[in-house]
Amino acid sequence: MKLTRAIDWLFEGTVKSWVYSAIRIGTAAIFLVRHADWLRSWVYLEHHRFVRGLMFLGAPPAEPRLNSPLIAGLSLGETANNAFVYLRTLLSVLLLLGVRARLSAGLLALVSYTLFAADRYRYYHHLHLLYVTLAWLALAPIGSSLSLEHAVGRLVQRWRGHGVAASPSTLLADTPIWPLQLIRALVLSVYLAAGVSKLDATFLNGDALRHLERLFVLKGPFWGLLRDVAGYGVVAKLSCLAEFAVPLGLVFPATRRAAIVGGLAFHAGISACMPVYSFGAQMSVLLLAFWPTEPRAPRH
Amino acid sequence: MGRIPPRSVLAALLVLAVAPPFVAQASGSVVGSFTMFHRIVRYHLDLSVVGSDGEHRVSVRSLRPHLSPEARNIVLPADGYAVGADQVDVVAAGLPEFARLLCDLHPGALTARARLVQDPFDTGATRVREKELPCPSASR
Repeated sequence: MKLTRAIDWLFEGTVKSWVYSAIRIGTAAIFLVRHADWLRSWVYLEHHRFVRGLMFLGAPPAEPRLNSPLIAGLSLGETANNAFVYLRTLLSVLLLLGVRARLSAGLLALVSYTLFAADRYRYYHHLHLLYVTLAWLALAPIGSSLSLEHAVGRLVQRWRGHGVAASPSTLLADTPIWPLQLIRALVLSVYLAAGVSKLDATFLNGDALRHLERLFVLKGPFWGLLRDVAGYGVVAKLSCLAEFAVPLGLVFPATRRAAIVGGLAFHAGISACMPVYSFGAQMSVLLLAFWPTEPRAPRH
Repeated sequence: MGRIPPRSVLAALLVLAVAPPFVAQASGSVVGSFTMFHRIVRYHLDLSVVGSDGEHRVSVRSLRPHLSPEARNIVLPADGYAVGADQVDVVAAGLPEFARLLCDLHPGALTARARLVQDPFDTGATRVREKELPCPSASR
């Protein structure tokens, strides 16, 4: 009975629709930027070092080639690989615009994971996070506001002479909270998993950071300042502590928004010190999931 | 507004959202574990084939045309000593495929061997993982 009540408490209720749309747009925009080099002329991003044009597109290596899929037996020929890359790009644009948003998110996750699993050397944690986020977004009402499909629907209604709802914006429409709770659970698990993996003497005494610095992975004025003020061991312990403190703060409504600000600062700090690709941006978008503080009604 | 799924489905989805990184860590898998920059190791890949005239070392660089662009980024530096965190486990999981590729590239070979040596910076504990495969030509 207690478990039943806990599930009801966790998943019953509503939340304003803007949060889903914001996460959808943020995730789709990051996806489009990370999987191509569109922005190369304006800003040099870390992935531009090895991504030219659309990521994973191009001629296959010479035969015989190293066939090394993450899933045994999965092999994509050149035609299938490139077709998947173009489909991935189309789906990410549709997701950004909010056209058949849930279907686009689900298919985009599927296509992306297929391309990912075809070659184990494509694996990066932040890409896995991006794709798993898309899979969870496919369960959420992500197209109910700020979407092209919704806007066209409203225009058609107006053109046909049907009155469009008088509400100021669909951004404030009530939508179910249960998909958001699952996205929140994903975010908490990412922080906690990263924190748990750092509960290791060699990390906590600062050795890993020392080596990362020696290899020019950790660099820049902000890192230099941190190291000089606190030292390797303290920075290591603080970064591990942050990976537990941020999710703990996110759990409780009273500390939620402070934890979001703390999380944003944490990711900005990491991004200023080392190459983490789009991970900081992705987590920042996902932190939006915790911004709403609407009370939830119990199940009757 | 859509209907809320049954409690059992919601509970299963919650487990699915939370558990995978911890399951991955417990099983020693890098994939899905979100273990980021918690350690740093050096790794070196040694490749060789054994023919009727003895064992020959194969340069990792010589495989370049046969590797995907993504594999090149991670594998080619391991001809010397590459440095990484999670990449080393990805390479380790792919050792049998390297041995298979060596067999394909060296039709006269009897066996092919891929050996990954890794050592963390902080201790002298070196870990060696090796995969040796008999090549199809050996059975002819």
